[in-house]
Parts: sequence; C-alpha cells; structure tokens
Amino acid sequence: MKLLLVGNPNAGKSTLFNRLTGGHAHVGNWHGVTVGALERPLRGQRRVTAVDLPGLYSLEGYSMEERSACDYLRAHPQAPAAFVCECAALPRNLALLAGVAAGRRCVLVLTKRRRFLREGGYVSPAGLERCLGIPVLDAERRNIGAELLARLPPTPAVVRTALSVDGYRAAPAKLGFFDRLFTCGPFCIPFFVLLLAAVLLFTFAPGLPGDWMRSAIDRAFLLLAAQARRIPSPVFSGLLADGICAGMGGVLGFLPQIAMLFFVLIVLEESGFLSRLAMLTDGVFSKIGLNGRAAFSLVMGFGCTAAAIAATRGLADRAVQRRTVLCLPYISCSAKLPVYLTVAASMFRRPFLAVVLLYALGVAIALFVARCSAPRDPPPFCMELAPLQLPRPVFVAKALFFQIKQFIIKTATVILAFFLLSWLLASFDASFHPCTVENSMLAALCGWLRWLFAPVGMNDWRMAYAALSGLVAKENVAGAIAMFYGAFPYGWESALAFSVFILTCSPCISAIAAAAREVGAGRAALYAVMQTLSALLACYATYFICAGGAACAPFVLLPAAAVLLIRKKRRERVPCKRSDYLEKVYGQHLCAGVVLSADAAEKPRRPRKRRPRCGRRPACPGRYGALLHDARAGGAFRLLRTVCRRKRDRRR
Amino acid sequence: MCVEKHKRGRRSIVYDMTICNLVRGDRALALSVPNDTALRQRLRALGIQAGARFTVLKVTAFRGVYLLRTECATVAVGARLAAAVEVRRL
Repeated sequence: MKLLLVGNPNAGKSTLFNRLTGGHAHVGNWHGVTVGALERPLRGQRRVTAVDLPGLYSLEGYSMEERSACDYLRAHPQAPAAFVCECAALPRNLALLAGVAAGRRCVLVLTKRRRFLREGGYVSPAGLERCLGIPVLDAERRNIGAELLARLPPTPAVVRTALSVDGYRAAPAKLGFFDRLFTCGPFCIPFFVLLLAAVLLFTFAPGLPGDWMRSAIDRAFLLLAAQARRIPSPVFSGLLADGICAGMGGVLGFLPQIAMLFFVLIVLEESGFLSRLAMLTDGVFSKIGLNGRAAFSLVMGFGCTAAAIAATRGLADRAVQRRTVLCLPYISCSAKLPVYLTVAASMFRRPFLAVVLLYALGVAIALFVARCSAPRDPPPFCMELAPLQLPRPVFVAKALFFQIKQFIIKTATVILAFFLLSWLLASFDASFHPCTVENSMLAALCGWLRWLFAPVGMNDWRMAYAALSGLVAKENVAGAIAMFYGAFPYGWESALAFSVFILTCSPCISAIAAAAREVGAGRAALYAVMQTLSALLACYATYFICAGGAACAPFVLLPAAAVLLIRKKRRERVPCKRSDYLEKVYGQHLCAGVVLSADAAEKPRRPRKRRPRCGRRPACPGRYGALLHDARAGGAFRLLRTVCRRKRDRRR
Repeated sequence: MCVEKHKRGRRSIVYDMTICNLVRGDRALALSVPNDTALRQRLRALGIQAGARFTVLKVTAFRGVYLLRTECATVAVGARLAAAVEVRRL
C-alpha cells in the first residue's frame, strides 16, 4: 500500500517523511525543496510505502514540480493520503484538502503547531475533526507513524470546508523586526555577499581554523605516506604512497573547509533567508531573462551543481529552466574549491583573495550567459515567503553529517577508483613493467593531449589529463596535480588561465546526468560540449591578456565590439524577384550605426494609373513585395515596394 | 476601473488601478486577476482573488517586487504580475 504525503510547499512533508521512514530526504525552510517523488517503506511496516510528493497549491499545477505531483495523484486515485498542512495555512488549504480527499481515504496532519500557538493562534485537533469530518493528527506527537495508520478511515469521506471557532482561530499577522530587516534590499544583498566573503575568509585564510584543520590532515597523510614507503615491495609502497596518500590526501585535506561552506549554506536554507533573497533579486534577474526563484538554484550551486540543477524543477517555465541550467556550471561548487586552492597557493601567499575573485568572476559569467542566451520575458513571479526562524541544531547537524558522509563516500569510491587507475596506468608500461611516467601506458594514451594547454605555457600532457579528469569529478583535478607534481609547477599566468578553464568548463558527470533528466540528454550533451570549448577559448584569452599585458586587451575587445556594432538586421521576405534597387536598400539597412533617411532610401513612386474596369479582365491575383526592417520606423517592418503578381510573371 | 471621490463629493473620471499604484501600508481589494487558469489557482491559494483584501507590506527598490499580506499568507509578486491585478484602494 502507498501512503501519499500531500500538501503545500514548506508544510513539513519531507520532515514527516524522514520521521516515518528513517530516510534522509532533503529538507529546508523554503518552497520547492522536494522536486520529485521519494518512496520508502515505513519503519516497522514494510507493507506500507510512504511517498513524499513535491508541494502543490492546487490540483492544476503551476510549476513543473507541482504538475509532477498532480500527475502522481491522478495515477494513484485509490492510494490513501496524509494531507500535511501547517496550522497557520489551514484556512487556505481547505479547498485543496477537499480536492485531494475526494474519493480517497485521507487524514489531516497539522505541523508547526507550537509556533502557531506561540503567535497567538488556537487549534484543536478534536474540534477540527468535528467540523471537517476527517481524522486530524498533530505531527509533533511521538508515535505519529503508528497513529497515522491506525486513524486512516476505512472509506473515503467528504470533507466539509468550514472552520468553527472551537476548532481553529487564526493568529494575528505581523511583520517582525528581522522580517523588515531581511526584506530590505540595501541590507539583505550586501549582507549575503559579506557573509559569503566572511565564510571564505574563515575557511581559507592562513592561520584560521579551516587552514589548521587542512594542515593537520595533510600532515597525517604525509606520515602515512612515509610509513608506506618503508614497505619492501616497491609496487605496494608506490601504490599506497604515490597513488592513494598523495591523490586522496590532496582531496580529503579539503574536507573541513567544504564542511564549513556546507554549514553556512544549510543555515541559510533553514533560516528562511533564501526566500527573501529570491524576492529581492527578482528585479535584477528578470532583466536577464531569469526569475527570482532561480536564486534558490544559484545559491545551491555553491554547494553542489547537480543538486542545484535538480532544484530548477521548481521553476514554472521550461525556457527559464534551460537558461538556469545553462548558467549554473559557472557558479563555483564546493568541488572546485580544492582546485582553486591548489592552483592559487602557487600564485599567491594569501590565496583567499584569488578564491574570492574566482567566485565573483563565476557569478558574473553566469549572469552574462543568462543575459546572452536569447532572453525573453520570464513568467510572472509569485512566491510565498517562508517564515524566518532560527535554524534548528538537530536539522543542521543531520544535514551537515549527510553532506560530509556523501563527500567521504564519493572520495572512497569514485575518486579512489580514479586514482588507483591513474596510478596503475602511470606506473607501468604496456607490458606491465614498472617505468617512469613518460614511458607509461598513460603517456601512450594521453600524450597527444599536451597540445591542449601548450598555448598557455603548459606543454605537458599531465596537466591536460588532470584538467579533463574534472569531468568525472572536479576533486580529481586537485588530486591529479598532487599526484603528478605535488604543487602546481607553472607561473601565475598559466595558473590563472588554468583556473579560468576549471571555472568555465563543463560540470562533472553527475551534474550532466542531472541536466539530462531536466532538459534532455541531447541538450545536456550540447551544453557540456559548448562549455568545454568556450572554456578552452577563455583559457587562451586569459593567458594572452596576462602574458601580453594590458596593451593587448584592445586587440581582443575590438573584434567583439565590431561584431556587436555590425549586426545583421532580421528581415522577412516573401517570394519576389530581387532587383538591384532592393539589393541597394537592403545593403543600406545592414549597418546599424548608419543613419538612414527614409526619403533617400525610397524611390519616388509614380502615381498609379487607373485602368477602366473590363469584364473580361480577371481580378488582381495579389501583390508581392519585400518586407524589410526599417531602422527609421522604430524597427518596424515596412513593405517598401510591391509588385503585382501578373506583372512579375510577365517579366519572367 | 476605479473611482475616487473628492472632498466636495464630486467623482473623478474612472481610471485603472493595479497593485503597481499602491505604496507601502496601503490596504486594497482585488478586483480582477489574470486569466491563466493555473496562475489564477495559484493566486487563489495564496489569497489573491477577486474580492480578497490584502495589505502592501513592502515595495522593493525600483518597484520590482511587491510584498503583500493576504488573509492566509505573505506573498511576493513581481512587477509584471502586479500590473495585471486590478485593485481598489481601501
């Protein structure tokens, strides 16, 4: 039997799902966290499967996630439902409750009751049962799972959509001090920027806790590597010291810093700050073809690109979703942090500023790409604001522990497998004899890659291999550099160009898979190829500007300016024999910067001679002409010259 | 369409008023909402429908987003949607 958890977004369905099943569904204090149906058997009740559905406001479905929830409800018309509703939102949910409960067994589960009572409201489950006609439960009770199954009615009931005073009284609505503060744009957005900068400083600056913990882990792996070199067998000692300790140590050393970044993101999610950020950024985002709701995905992109791409399902419009998926890879995720720090450490004594600049550059490129990708009017922005609250320590700890566990599992499986394979291929030749890296199987397979970064002063196939290994997992780049070189071996121009490549390159395979699920496999593959090629060009351009100096910048910017100035105007043509006159007119319209006079462009027309109507003469079959784009007419299309079809055929 | 009374009791010429004409602190009555079915149902679920009352809590910079308090929710609407909802100031 399936038990569907249905309700408005941010009602507490995923939290209830985790309590009922022991699962780890992603929870957060913003609307649109759950984007797909999650199924899991109940604790102690293997016959019953709980299904966590995305939130919905109506049975029509406005956004994509809502429509998927509505489709699931229609596909399971007989499945019992637990309608999860927060106490403060009960009056507006009555119509939806009646619609969901029509023809199916239904129980109402009330959430956030303590907060509602604190704000001055009153709710009585017993009183609500009498006026609504279905069982009503409080989600904050201990044994909610067993009670929920026990209280399911045997047959569907008709819900009465009227509330009485003895069952419910609304809390007075008010906007508190912090609500007013965090909905103030001049405070909220700089606060967010400074918060991110402070997190990066606390995490990466030398002499602070993030740096201490990373140094401690690096020292531990160095000790392990030293012990491994004492093993008599050269193969095993090389595998442990050069393969596992160097590669894995180069990745696991960043675990404390990544954990700190995830901690801040989880606190932002839990506090309700993201809703306010989405509201305040909608004005800017709508100018570049996005939507305020895209702010959720963009902020999540600082943690994991794959999760951020999945969150775009909460957008109402496919075109906006595609544009958001296109620009998300430019937001630096947590996996790119080890790469930036590895590369920046060779450029700067204080890599903090370099990392902050790369983050800012990534956000700027993301917004620029969104603006350039054929913007059109985004769908109307309409969003409920999540309540501001202090993050609950239990939820923050659980979410942080889950992210750390995921990182360690990924390191211990995907990244470890990659380093083992890389070490094997780099330490043996084709006949499996130990050899140097230059004579190894890896050199034979990847030697041709050295041309990839030769224009940026890195004429070494190992750097290209390290860069392309980021397509599997971005952490591999840092580990591969540590395995082959120890530290980044080139100068600051090459380091900056390499960082720009990593910043603008296609995301890892899991993010590409998430994009394929949202926008289609063909489009996701096209995005990945375009991003990799454009990353390569950006890398070359960065090195060219850095090595050539600022004097070379005009030679890079002038062609771009010329392309923008000399644009081909769009025109529509109907079938017509092109004459010299039309060629001249069209040619004059090509240059956007040239001022045209409509009188000069138009040939003076001769007055039309009226011919006497003749009964034998057929009616004019129609006129043909050329519709050209006239800059002087405000960009409108004008029919500049028309030719009668009969005359045109006669000329032919 | 909206009619305003002057002090002397004379009525002014009718004109259209939308959420975009409201400022912070204004109370208004919604007269009509956009015709799109799914959007209309979403707005109804959030408490914005013909005949519903709401208060303007905040208007962001450059009048980009309007924060409204309806009977059952705090809702943020963008400028385009705000221009499509006709209201009467209370």
